[in-house]
Amino acid sequence: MGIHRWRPASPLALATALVLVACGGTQGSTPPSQSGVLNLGVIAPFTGPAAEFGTLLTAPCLAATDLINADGGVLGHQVKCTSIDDTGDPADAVPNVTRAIATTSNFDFAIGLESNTAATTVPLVSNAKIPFFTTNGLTSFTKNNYPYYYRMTPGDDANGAAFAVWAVQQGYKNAAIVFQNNIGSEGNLPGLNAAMPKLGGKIGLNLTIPADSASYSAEVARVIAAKPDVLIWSADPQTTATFLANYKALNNGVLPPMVTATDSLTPDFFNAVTKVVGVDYVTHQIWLVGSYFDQTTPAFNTYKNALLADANTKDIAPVLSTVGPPAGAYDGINIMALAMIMAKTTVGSYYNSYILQVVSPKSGATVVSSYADGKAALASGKSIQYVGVLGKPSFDRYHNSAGEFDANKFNADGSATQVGTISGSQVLQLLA
Amino acid sequence: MGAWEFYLIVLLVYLGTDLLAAWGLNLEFGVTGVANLGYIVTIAAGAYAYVICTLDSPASAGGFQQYVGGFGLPFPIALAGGVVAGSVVGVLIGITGLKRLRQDYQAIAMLVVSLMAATVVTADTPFLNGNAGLVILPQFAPLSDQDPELQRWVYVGIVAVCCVAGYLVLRRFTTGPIGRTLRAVRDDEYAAAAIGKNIVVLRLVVQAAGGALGGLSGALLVGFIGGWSPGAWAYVETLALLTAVIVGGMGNDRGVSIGTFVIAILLLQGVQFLPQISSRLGLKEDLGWIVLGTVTILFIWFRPQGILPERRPKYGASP
Amino acid sequence: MQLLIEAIGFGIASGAVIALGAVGFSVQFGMSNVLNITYGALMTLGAYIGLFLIDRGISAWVALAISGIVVGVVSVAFNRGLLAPLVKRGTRAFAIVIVTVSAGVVLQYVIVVFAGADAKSYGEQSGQTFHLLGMVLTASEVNIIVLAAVLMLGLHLLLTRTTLGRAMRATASNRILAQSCGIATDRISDIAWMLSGMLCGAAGVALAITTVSFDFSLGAVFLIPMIAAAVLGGIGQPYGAMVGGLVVGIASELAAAFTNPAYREVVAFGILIVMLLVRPHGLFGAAWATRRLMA
Repeated sequence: MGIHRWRPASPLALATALVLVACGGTQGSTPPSQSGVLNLGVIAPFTGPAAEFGTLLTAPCLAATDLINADGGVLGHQVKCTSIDDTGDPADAVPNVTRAIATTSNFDFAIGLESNTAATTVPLVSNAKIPFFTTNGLTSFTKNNYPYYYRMTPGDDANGAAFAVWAVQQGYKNAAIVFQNNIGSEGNLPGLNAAMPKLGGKIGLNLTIPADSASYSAEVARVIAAKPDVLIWSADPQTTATFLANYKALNNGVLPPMVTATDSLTPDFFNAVTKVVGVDYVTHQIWLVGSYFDQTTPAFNTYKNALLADANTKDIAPVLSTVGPPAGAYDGINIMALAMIMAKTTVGSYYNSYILQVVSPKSGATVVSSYADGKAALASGKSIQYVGVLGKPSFDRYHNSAGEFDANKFNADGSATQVGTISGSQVLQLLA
Repeated sequence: MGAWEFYLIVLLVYLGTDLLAAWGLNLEFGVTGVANLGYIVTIAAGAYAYVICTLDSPASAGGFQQYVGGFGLPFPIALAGGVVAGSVVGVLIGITGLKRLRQDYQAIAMLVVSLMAATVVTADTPFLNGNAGLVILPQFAPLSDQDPELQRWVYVGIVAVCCVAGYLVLRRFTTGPIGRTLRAVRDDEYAAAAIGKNIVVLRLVVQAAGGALGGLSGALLVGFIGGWSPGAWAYVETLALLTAVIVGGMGNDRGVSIGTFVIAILLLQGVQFLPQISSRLGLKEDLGWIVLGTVTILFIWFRPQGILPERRPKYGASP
Repeated sequence: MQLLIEAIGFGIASGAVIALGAVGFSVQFGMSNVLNITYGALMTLGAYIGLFLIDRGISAWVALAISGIVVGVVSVAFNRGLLAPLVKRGTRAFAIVIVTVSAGVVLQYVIVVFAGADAKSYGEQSGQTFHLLGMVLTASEVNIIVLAAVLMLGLHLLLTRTTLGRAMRATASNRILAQSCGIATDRISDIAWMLSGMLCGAAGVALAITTVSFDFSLGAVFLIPMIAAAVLGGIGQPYGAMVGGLVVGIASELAAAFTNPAYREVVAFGILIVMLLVRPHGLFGAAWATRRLMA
């Protein structure tokens, strides 16, 4: 039996190998250069229950790389989006990501690493010295020490508090909180529970429901009994559609207004719910609260036009125009690319220290809102400050930048429009 | 440490833990005939037990996860905790199988137990942090004060040592007097009982041993990857393991090891290397499931005894 | 108190759908002695065929009938092509279960490849509700309850009052003896699979209507409550499946109404485990079917 195969090499051989490795690599003072196409990893679920996030995160990658490549690439290299399936299972993600790291040439930057698997994938990518902008919302990363980690999306608890702020701002006093028992929603709950009482709102009922059940009539009956004036909600499209259909049947056709996360700003959600309760409710009574960005900035136009120009992304461009995390990924790619130019190398361990410099405010800096502008400004010797689709990031020492929040409403065609903003500092105060 | 080297380490650790799990399942199903479709719960129990033994109390570990326990124990004891948890869960699952139901009914009962366990864990957040799962902070990782390269190769060594130990346990149960008794129980329970073998105790001992191997597998895996959540132990994982057992050859240790290698590494990882066939993302993985299901059916159709069938010992002249 | 009565009403509605699926499953097991896990994926197939038809303007009842027929034919083919030969060869029961589980996985993912993994729906419901004794039921729910009751009665009459039914029961009870009495057991088997397959397809469509919004995991998720109902009521006995379905449905809704709603599924699981441990032949197990439950 090949059991003997599994014993490690003898101690002497191991020690020799280690010595050779230690003596072999040196870090010279000139930054190394790579040749060929640069690979940008999109580490996201492409299969499993969260599979739609894979597509949603590939789109900003395509938009950013289309623009970068059209402008001559980064330091002469073209950039390609490489999808790496994290399967949504933290154990299965590990071999996929490590294999990708081993087999992908010039794997110099990454985006994605979402909540289901971030616990196991973040250490892998950071230890491989690949800078990345992650879109997870886990509170476990609020204080972290991974040098290559950057996050421009708020933690889930901050999102939860933002729900509370919006609901109270709209004049609702008695909320029924109904969340599906998945990661994002569970993360929202502490922030929501903390913020509601501080704002003078009441939580009439707090219920966690299982996903994809055939009927939620019993839960609906409980919610109706609590007489809420708003439903603070978070669940997948199928669960939402079934729940609302049951609610409509049991409440004489009347549905409560709903506050939910911008995570639900997807075609799946829109289609599933509209087909079941009609487009009127969806466009008038549902607010989607999440990361904010200003659609009037030049950066936004560049981003939106790039999405519309690429055949693979033009269909979901309307949806992406209002959702924070993909926009954060797009900004992150530009920031990393500009950092590469500043460092005069595409190797992660070298350009990582320039990333924060790309966005830090400094006197005399030229404010740029696209990769092309930044590249041109750097070429003429100026210092730059990148202000992207999500506005000016302000990274704390853990490389997290929470940003502001906004509220959106669906349009009849499935796209969304921003209808209000919520101050990020107010939200953070409520969490303290 | 080069990326290929690390990938190799990952593959080795995964292979080692998959082997332990497959051997445990083989012990229960292949050798004793207990159709434990809930086997994945023993692996999960081992992983969770390891985590709550390793971490400090919830508040001092950062306060962002809720869980019971948090004992801050060193690596070997936490590992032992995982083994014990797997064992206990194995016995509990085994009790549901004690009633002499037909094997396929028993299988469904055990599958349902695993579904119940998953539902309870995700529903009750303060227990094991629900769906978000638990994270082992880097400072609690085993040997975290050592140089990372050394740390990882030593971990491979530890997994290897555990595999050796696990294999020896397996041999103890599959050969010799205990092995023969277990095969007798599998092949004709009434006859075995008639000659005085205590079926109930034997079955539970096997469940404990199989569960212990599962718990060890889970604990070793979570110590390496640093996190565990319900997404990691959906019941389809047991399906993949069972396919490995059937493909490799039930009741045959070598065969099961080959089956594990074929399924876990070649098939599930190999599918990843296929080129992107169409624009539909996720097609590769859907095809992977279709292939896995078809392979299982084909094997049961053409070669139910597996790649390396069990070698039946010969006891003199046949009747 | 109000909530209790309402919950019982919801339980009756979901119980009817569960019963519809459980009956087909129960008859299949009684006839062929096979725990057919593919039943779940076949229900999903029924639901998606229904979707295909309804999206093209065909009425729900016609779609239900057509789905039933298609799934019936597929079930017969499945049995003839894969299960019956394996049983004839003496393949152990557990290996056959594994085959049905794998076939279910394959069918499910084939559906995903063709129809996509996103949530589907038959569309907005009529919104008409009925109030009976404090319970609230929608028009579709009432329709399905009536349908389930009619089908159950029909099947019961078939099995007990007709020659065909007697032949089916004889084949299930003792195949060799039935053959020696001149019964064409293979054809009877086909008919049994056709009937149970039709019930399976109809259950799939009924499930899709009840749940309003569904995806490819529809059948797989519902299989366990259906098996629980079938076991509780007694394998092979249609009336038993109805009672079993009602008990499982009502218990689940009560759990959702008064405890953590996530436990609504745990109830079905618990019923199944307890029944298997305590009384595997169920409350009304048909004598011609239950003998083979024990090892």
